[in-house]
Amino acid sequence: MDFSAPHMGFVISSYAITFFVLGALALWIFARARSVTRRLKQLDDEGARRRRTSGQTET
Amino acid sequence: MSSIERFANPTRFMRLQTTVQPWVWIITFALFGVGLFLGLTRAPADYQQGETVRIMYVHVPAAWSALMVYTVMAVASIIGIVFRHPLADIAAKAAAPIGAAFCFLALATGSLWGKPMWGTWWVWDARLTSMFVLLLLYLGYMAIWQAIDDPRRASRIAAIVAIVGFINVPIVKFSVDWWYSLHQPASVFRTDGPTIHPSILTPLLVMGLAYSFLFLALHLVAIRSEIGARRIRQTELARTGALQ
Repeated sequence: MDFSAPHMGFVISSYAITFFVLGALALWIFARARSVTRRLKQLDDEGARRRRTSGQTET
Repeated sequence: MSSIERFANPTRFMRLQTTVQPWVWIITFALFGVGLFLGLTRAPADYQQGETVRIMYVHVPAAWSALMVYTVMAVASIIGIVFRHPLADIAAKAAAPIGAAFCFLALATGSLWGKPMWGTWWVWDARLTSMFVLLLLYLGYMAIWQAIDDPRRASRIAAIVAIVGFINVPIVKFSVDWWYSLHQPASVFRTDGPTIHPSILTPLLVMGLAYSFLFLALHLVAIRSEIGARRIRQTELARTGALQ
């Protein structure tokens, strides 16, 4: 790749925004996963049980 | 019980996800490594566009993925409405932010490609406008889940939006054939085969696969989180009920 070619700023910006957005998306998804896991563990430690209704599929 | 129903059980899904997740990440990173290496170092510059053509390796897979993710959401929504299986609703809901990010990237990188090649950041032509509508559909779908507290009611309304909004997917795909557009016509998925040279097509397809595996990797984590979030909600509801 020739970094002195015309319009290289547009190419670099495209890759930068792609990695920034995908990285931020991954971080957000992992942060939510960690927060949910922590809360579930907390509830489990407290001995809480889920509410079930008849015929409800387990989620 | 069919195999689809067996794997659609959330508890079985959690076990399967734990097993396959590391492999999906390994394949994702490997595909991104190979795709970026081929696209940035081995693929030639275009004879007209020069180095700017390399924007294609992040722009086109983002656009393909945005359409693919919306299709996944629409199919999951149909399964959710017809079979009332909660995992289908969860899968559709978990896919939406990932699809919205891909759609935003397709628009942003397309704009960064359009300025040096077309001389403008944006035109309201059929392809760009229908892609913008796709982003609005993603945002609208996510807003419904945020706005309605009852998950069953939210899932029903969101599913209808996802299914009705699917009409936009073929419009995005065929917009360049049906209407005049600055955007070039299809050059990969054509009935008479791709019109791109293999030296450019190969990295493009590898990057397309990398984006698909990235979606799979993130979607699996997001589905697991959503299952967990619903378990938290049920537990907290049970606790509130026990106190009253």
